[in-house]
Amino acid sequence: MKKEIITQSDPKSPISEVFRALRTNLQFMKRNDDCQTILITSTVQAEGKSWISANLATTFAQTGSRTLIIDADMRKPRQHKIFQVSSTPGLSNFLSEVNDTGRRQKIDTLDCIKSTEIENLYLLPSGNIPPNPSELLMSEKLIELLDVVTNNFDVVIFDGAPCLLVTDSTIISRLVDSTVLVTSYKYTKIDDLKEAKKRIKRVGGNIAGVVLNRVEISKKRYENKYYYASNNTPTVRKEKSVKDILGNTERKSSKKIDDELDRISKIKVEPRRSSKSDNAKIDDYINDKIEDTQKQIQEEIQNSKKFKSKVEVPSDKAKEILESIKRYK
Amino acid sequence: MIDVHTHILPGIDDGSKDIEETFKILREACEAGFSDVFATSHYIEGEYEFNKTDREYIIEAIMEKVAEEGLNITIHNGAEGYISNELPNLIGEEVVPTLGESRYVLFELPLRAKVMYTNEVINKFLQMKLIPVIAHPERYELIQDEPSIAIEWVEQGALLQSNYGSIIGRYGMTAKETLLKLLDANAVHFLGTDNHRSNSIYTRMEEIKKEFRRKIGRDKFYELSETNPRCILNNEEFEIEEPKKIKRRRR
Repeated sequence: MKKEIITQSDPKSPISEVFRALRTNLQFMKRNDDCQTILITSTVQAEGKSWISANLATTFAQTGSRTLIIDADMRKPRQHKIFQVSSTPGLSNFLSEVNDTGRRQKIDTLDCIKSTEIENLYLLPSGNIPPNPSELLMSEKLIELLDVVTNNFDVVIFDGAPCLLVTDSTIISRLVDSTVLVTSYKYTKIDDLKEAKKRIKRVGGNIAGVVLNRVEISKKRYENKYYYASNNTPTVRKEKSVKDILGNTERKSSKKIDDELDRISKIKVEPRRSSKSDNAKIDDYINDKIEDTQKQIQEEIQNSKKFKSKVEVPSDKAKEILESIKRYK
Repeated sequence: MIDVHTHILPGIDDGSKDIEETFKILREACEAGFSDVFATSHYIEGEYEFNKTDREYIIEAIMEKVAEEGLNITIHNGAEGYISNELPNLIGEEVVPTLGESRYVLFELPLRAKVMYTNEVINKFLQMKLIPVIAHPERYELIQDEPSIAIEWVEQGALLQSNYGSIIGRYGMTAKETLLKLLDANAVHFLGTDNHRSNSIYTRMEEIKKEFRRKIGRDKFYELSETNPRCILNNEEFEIEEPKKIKRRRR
């Protein structure tokens, strides 16, 4: 695992602190709308998508949520390098049904998923670089993939391609619960950001907010020792401020992209949750009931345990401190 | 005086590093005029996780030694919780202690990162019939940029605890100016030292007291350093005055 995962290698750093804040901000948005699947994208390259995806996913995993990163930038994949695992078989292999040796073969999603050095964090790498990523993403297979991963993971984070250059991320944005746009301080162009927002909105995507990456921080302002300064600090803003950032300038997207966007927004997506037949709904209801009862039983067991251990003893670490106090003087 | 915010327990967080330092700090506290201190070591999930019981044992052991040495000071249990969606549950399950078993809960926000769910956490505490106390608002970039947000917290039902050291510029000029704005708006309810080390804040208390009395007057200072903190000790509620509005800088 590379040093880039600062939330794991240095959880006390102010950068990790910002990632935890970003995570919880996203968790709190959940109440209005489900926020299980998140797409991270940006306007152009090199704004910090992969770094932010990897660190955000790590902070989710650290809370005990089963977390999956999907490297959906099939043109310039990076996640397998960050987590130092093989890039194949991966997303492109699953979508195209072509295995890593070039043979046609149906591939199971779960076979492509690799565990990482971080507990609870899994990676679905990009797979072999395909000639036609957008075409692959438009296939029914992507919806099938979403079904499998949302059933198996608590949080799914897509590290997408930049959405102004190619339509890959725009396609994904309409299928995920929310999209986060990464911008780079003094680098991202406001027109570009506006255009990116327009495209995502146009296909029905839901933008959770904008992360402002690479903000410079003056060291002097923070005199407290353990909050030291750094160069990479993302902060999340509410969507309201996207509009603030965007101003009034407008730019026409090229005809080709326009046509493609039209095509994308016309493809029918079967809503995942409402497509169930009545029988399935009844099954769900019964399952929920069973789950509730099981939860109740578990809670009762836990409560009785709590009761038993009511005469609480200090933890091992506390015992060490108690010893040192006893020895004092 | 009663100090509502300290990190004097040894080896629990980034505060006092060992029992020797703890006693140095305690002697300084007596010298500075404190009769009671709340030990509010950090509770940060995944980082500093000494629970309520651990803290009770440690305080009990220290108090035995305090009696032996004849120091006239009492340590009360507490914690400075780090804001998260789990924190209210951790308090409810008595993993994280309130201030001295009272209804007052001390918690902090990240200094730089801007969290957007503080109001939800305040609400949750209020629903639990607890009184949220937000530590050192003047040190948060969020409040330095937009002090009116702190006033909104107070209007919502939270109380604010400022640091003694902020008045002499210990956390920089911006923190000092922000504190003065909050004092001016009548939005500060408690003072605490947030002491982490020996030979730091307690040894500068004379200068600090003078500065506070000059800025807010003797009576108000007594209220913030003694009367209000005593309400926590006695687990009593007290009437707060309506804070004055601070103009929003943005929008």
